[in-house]
Amino acid sequence: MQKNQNKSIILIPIVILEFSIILSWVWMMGDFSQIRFGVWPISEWLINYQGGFVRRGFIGEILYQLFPGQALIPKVYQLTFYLYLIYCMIFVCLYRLSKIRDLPLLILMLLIPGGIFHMAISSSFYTRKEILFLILFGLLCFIYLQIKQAQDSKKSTWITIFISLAIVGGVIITLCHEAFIFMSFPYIASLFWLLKKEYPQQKSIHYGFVAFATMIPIVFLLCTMMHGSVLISENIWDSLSLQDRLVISPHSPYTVYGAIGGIGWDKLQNLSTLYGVLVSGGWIIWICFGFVQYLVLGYVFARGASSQSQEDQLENLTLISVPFLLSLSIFLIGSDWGRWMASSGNHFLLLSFVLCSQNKRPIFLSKKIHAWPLSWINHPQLIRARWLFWGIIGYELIFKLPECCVQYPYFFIQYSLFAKLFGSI
Amino acid sequence: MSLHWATSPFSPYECMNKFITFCVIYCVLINPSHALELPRYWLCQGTSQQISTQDQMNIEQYKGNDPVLLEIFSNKVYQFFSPALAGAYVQCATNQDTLMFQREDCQAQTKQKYFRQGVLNLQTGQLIFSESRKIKSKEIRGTGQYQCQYMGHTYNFLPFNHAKKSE
Repeated sequence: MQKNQNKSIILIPIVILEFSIILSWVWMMGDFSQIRFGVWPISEWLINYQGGFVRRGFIGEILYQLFPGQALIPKVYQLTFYLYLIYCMIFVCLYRLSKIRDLPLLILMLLIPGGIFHMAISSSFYTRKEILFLILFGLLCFIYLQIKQAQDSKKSTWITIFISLAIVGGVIITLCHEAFIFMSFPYIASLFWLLKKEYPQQKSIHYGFVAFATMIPIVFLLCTMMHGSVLISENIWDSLSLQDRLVISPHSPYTVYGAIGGIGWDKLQNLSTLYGVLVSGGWIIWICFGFVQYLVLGYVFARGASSQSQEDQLENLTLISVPFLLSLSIFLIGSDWGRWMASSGNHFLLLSFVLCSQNKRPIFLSKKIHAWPLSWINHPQLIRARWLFWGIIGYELIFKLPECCVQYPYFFIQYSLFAKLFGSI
Repeated sequence: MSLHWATSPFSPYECMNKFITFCVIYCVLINPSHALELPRYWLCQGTSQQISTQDQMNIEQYKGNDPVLLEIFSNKVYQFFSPALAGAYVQCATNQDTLMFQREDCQAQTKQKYFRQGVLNLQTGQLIFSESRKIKSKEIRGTGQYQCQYMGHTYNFLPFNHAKKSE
């Protein structure tokens, strides 16, 4: 009986994952006559260098050069779907490589607002450039776990791959979106630091870490200096095909709009969007979301690390809390608070896979952060409570993180919408 | 019902909203003169039109009725909800009755390669927008007529359905 129950629970994460991938595939790879996600995220993928070098232009320029004169938006739909698929595969691989063998916890991780299931049902988050950050970080986590498991003769190869990917990938992704330095850099730096501490005899890790920690801020500064202007944004807009401009702005295709227009924003205009979060009434909803997400992430970590000694748990909690707290700095810079929460949460889950898979290793930190409410590890009885687990599942299946501009009723999952989608097939 | 409670201007929610907004902005902005000068908003409803001509023949015509949110902050006017009026403008001649704003600078003339101008009647709330642009052999002309309502220092996303559109 117990065995049958265990078998059937294996099906649940598989079904969630398959459902999410099929839904995204149907939505992104089907009829292109309908707009598939918001004009702001679509237009952000289309920023290119046709007005001169500018922040966020790397991917748009590649698309522009690969498909000259063509409508690029269908390519963006396909690209984002494939990136989502890669992220899902990395997520599953990391779960398999980690020593977490807790299927209810995996279900909870898949359903977390801003995570794999929510990305699919709202076609959001993976349609943003943060998906690149997650893929890079996920790959680095995967390589890190390979280093740990590899034979001594192969460790050096994996270490070289880790260093090269972190530096080259980090530089390229900063050119795709400079917010990488706030949202992903702290997590990668934390993983890099851990690797450096674990293999002190490998000088290449030390130099690689220094190069990574230097080059990303330099590229970020370059992007900040080349932040764009009204003229550049107009040149980028004019370089797009009329078909693409009509999708983004059907009533005025000769006026720059969306994230491309954002390239011409000044500091005051950016600041006023933060003001908008407050005056539009969003702040109270964001505080609630932020607090509950924080509790759920703490729960996930504590449950994943429950087989570790308390000393290891505290060390790992510090290693994950520091980048998590640093990544929250983006909340003071941009107004898409749902995006920041989702990205931070997803990075947190990926690093949890790594840290929860650790065998006994030396303790490197003399000071620990006892961050409440991440510190569920102090309540082992509570994390096994059924009511708490089902309470979190209930939260995950009722509420949906909006990317930005929170308003009633768009912070609830609109089940009727994707039921209609399947009904129309 | 609950929505009405939340959006009523004198609800505890709105009062708290305004208080927190003021405190945060005051603390965030270093320049005290900015801290006391919060953005002001005008919400406008109306229609826009963009016509493309080549050799004096209309080749394309587009019409829209997206709501406009003018954000007046410092000496600038920002608008990013309606695609037709999207952009940053500088405030030009302003008196008790009218606010005029233009793309780039107030010396710009209609004959320039790209000219955009809005005139808001502060008494009646009427907004007239016009633009002209040359792109290679094409000439683009845009117009807009709106009726605006002063919102004070606040707005919400309901008129724009922006949360839904952005996803």
